[in-house]
Amino acid sequence: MKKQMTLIFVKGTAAVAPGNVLAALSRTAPEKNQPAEGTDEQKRAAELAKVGDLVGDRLIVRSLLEKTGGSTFVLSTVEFEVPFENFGLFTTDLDDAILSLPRSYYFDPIEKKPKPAPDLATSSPVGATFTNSDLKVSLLNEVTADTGVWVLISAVTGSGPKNQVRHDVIKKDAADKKNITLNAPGPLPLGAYKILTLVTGYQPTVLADTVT
Amino acid sequence: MSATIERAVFFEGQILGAADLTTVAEYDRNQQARHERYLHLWGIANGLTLAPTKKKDVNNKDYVEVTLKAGVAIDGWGREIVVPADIVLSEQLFDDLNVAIPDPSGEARYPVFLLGRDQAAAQPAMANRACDSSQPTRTIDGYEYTFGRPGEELNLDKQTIAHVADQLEELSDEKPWRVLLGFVRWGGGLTDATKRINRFIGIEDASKEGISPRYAGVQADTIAARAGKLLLRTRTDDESEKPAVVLDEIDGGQLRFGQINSQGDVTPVFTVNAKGDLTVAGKITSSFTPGTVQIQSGVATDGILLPLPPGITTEMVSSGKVALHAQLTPRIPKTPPVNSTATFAVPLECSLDENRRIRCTVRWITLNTVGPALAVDDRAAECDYLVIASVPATTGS
Repeated sequence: MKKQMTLIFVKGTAAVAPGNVLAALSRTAPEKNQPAEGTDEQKRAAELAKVGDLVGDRLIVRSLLEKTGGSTFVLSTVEFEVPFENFGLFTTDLDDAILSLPRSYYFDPIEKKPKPAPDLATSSPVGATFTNSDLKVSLLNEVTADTGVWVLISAVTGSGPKNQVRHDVIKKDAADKKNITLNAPGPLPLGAYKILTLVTGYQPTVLADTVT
Repeated sequence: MSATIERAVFFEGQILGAADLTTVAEYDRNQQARHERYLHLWGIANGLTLAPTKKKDVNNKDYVEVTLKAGVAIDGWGREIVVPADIVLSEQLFDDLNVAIPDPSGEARYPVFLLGRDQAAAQPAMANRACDSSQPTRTIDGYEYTFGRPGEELNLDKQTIAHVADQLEELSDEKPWRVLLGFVRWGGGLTDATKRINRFIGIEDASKEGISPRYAGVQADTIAARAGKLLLRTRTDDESEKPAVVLDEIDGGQLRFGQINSQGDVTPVFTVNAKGDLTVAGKITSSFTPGTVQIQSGVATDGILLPLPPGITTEMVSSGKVALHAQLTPRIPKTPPVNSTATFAVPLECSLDENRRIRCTVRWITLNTVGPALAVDDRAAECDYLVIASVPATTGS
């Protein structure tokens, strides 16, 4: 039997999830897999139980690149704590290229396989800007297919949340195919925020903005 | 809700009224209901199965006639519901209830419910009564069956409960308690016109979610045998080859599990005696065998929990039932990371935190010919891991 690897990707709850792989592992002793049965909710619960076994209640994500303007990136010092319920699992034949750089890949749920995201310079969001507490995410190019946008907002200063998740989909037939506003569930405290931004087919990127 | 429970008493010379005699009857009935409510669990006590009979209509279309077999159930209020004779379920009633959903393949399963229902009995031809009274002198402890939409079988445990002192008569205004009997399939929505028929086309024991009729049970904190041997079996009759458990005083005490044989005894495949000696006819299979080790290895990225060997759970580790021995070796990437001018890397951190989370980073180093001699760039990395989970050997002492 071929060696297998398991990819931990952002599945979220949106109809179109970004699919970015944020962690990966291989196991020599294969997992005792029983095919998930039951309703979609029961299957999802079973998947989340397995996610919990691998990441606990959150996955620590660090050493991401932060966009500081144009095509300039610096190494972010922020450790993002992504709640486990945002993840899905995909197990496939082991590929060393993916296992050594999992964050450069995203899971395509239609073709059911991991695909490499383009270079960071050509596949990072242009920016994320707060208007009051709402967050506008701008992409480089207009989308040609329904595209999931998922962010995790983490306060750097002030009393803001450390892991507020927002997500939505830019529809291919939307009037604005490059920008989307992710509404706030409630007002954010004033302060500086780092925003882990995941977009279908884009590299994970950290953006920064301030709520004033 | 009644504030008190009243019992009729009589004295010599008393003129008896109808209310006095009714109190006598209702006291017994409600006492029995309280017994059923609090010492038993509601459900079917006997019979009440759905039996199909295959038939064809005048157009040669297949259907089934569904018969509800006679039987007894106890509802959640403790009311006894008796179906005294077999009865054919009415397709007209199903149609009238308008419960059918769009179902082109005829796969939908419609729950069949039984309800207790008081009904006024017909007047006896020669009843002794006042000349100006036409009130009936009997009430039929009746029943009614009905059909629901698929899904109505859910949450049957969440029906209106009776309070301790509630009398059955007081609950008659509540929505009757429903006891699930089974499921029918309906042919009225079939796409195929050659098969479509406004009749039942089948029965099912359970819903697609696995919900099936519930049988009456007991509520007890102690179940005691009178002759030193207690038998627990899965059928009301001692059918052979059905599983059973015996708790027996023989040889100081034994627990036996096995199948019932043709003599009605249990042929044990598992026995434990009062000394703690265990006798097993088969083999013991467990991923959690004392005195063994389980191993897992592979590659994992920074930030996730250390993967455990198959069969070993976080709970086993945290409770100390197994001891983990882990070795992590950082993997030095072959090429510098994106956006880095580094030329080589060294391990910086490769450890587990108190939650078993892998912390693995490498330091990329750039040797500059101008400016600062050294520039560093710390990046999350992956590592090879080896986990040995040892399960301590145990003794019976």
